[in-house]
Amino acid sequence: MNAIEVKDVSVYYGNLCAIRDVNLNVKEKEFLGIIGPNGAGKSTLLKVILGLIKPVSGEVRIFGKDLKETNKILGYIPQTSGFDRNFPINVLDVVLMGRLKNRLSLFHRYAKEDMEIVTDLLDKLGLSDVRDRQIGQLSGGQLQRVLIARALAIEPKIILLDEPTASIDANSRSQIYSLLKELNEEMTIVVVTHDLAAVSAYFDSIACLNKELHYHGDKELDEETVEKIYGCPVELIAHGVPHRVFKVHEEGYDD
Amino acid sequence: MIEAFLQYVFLQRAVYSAVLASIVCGIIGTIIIEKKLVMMSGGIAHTSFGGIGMGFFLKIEPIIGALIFSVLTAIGITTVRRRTNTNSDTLIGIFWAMGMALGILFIAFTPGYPPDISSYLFGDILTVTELDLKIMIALTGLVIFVIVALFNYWKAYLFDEEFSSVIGIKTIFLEYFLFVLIALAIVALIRVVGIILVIALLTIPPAIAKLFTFDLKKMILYAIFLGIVFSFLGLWISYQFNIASGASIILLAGLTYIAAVIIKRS
Repeated sequence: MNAIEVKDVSVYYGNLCAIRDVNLNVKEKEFLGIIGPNGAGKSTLLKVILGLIKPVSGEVRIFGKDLKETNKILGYIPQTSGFDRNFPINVLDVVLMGRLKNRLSLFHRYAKEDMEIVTDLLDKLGLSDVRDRQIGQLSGGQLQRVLIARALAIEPKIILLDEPTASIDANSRSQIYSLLKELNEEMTIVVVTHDLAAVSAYFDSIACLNKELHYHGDKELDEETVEKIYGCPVELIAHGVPHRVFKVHEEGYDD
Repeated sequence: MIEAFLQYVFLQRAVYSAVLASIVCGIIGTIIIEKKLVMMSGGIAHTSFGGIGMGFFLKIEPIIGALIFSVLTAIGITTVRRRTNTNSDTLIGIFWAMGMALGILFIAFTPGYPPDISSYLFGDILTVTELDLKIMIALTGLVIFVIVALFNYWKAYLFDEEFSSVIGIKTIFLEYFLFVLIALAIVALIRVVGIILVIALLTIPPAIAKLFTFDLKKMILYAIFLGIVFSFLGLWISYQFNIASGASIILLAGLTYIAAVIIKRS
């Protein structure tokens, strides 16, 4: 059974098309990278899968079920730019959010079990020392791990990440991808990214999105596909990206 | 002033309403600062002037009119914003001015001498009535209950609405609920500082508190404490020099904020 099935999904913002007729099947325990240029609708697709955006047409199924019938299967790791880093909340409280139940209950307190799960996660992700720190006082890599811990606190089967390495240094970046690789043994992982180097090193498969889904499959892309997606000469994209991403690559490709 | 407090009922009421107002401001003020709803709250406050005018016109208690108007405005802005692409800034501006205009219209149509509206615009804590106080007690109690009872959810919603939604929390419900609470809080504050000044009492104490803590709960508690200090000192100044209580409370709070920022910087 597929972990995620996206069928004929289109999203429009007003008259502006964000994504069109996207079909995508993600297998269980797949490690998928979704790449594409800015404004290609990558984040939109992620939000459709999460149920945050209602598509104009098409549907999303998670393990064969409608999104509404699934509960606590999806873990979401948003872009760090998506919230206020000055918000008065500490690491522990952010991760505990993942343990909240969907039904509102009066005078809710986190159970002992919630506390244990969260403490374990903080240990595992090397965040125990900063658990009382306000989130604005963390490094980019630490903050990213806090968000991963929060998603894992849900105990999800699938986790979806939006640009997890956008604003962190190389060291934390490889740390995060190794962590994801480890998590991948137990869960399905979907990452929206610009980071083509990481794609080659860690991912199983790749999906290329530019309004429409141009490719989904093996991570070894040929130049032609990449050029089609980005709609510009490959060299521009290959700039600063290790060459092994591309199966066929000629030095000095100029146009 | 102590003997006067024991002697005069109006001073006792002033003190009680100052405490209640500070509690509401500490809680709701912290929330509107963190959720960036300050202008929205200003809009709700000004629109409630329409309700006060309606109250005079229909000969019902003006504060009840304000309650109806501000709650309807809060629901109206949220709904229109969700249904259309209109920027909420624009919407707030429209509601803001329309509410004031309606108030003026109602008062113009009210037969007889025009009522004294300045205590609603600028607040006069020394003229708080028994009924005002009862309404304030009820509203403050409600705000405390709702925020305390759902505190963990509010925290999640305020910090990261998207994530809260992904884990299945009904964020639309929380949003409407919050806006109605803001409306109720504003009504509770109108008698103390008035429609025009309410935004300052909502924002200044939490803004000072935020300089000294990184914890949401502490921020609320500090803001409540600061609110009480400002309103008591402001009340004292107002009593001693016979000037409007709203203005003295706000100026005191504002100057303290400036001083706190300077101290924190150096």
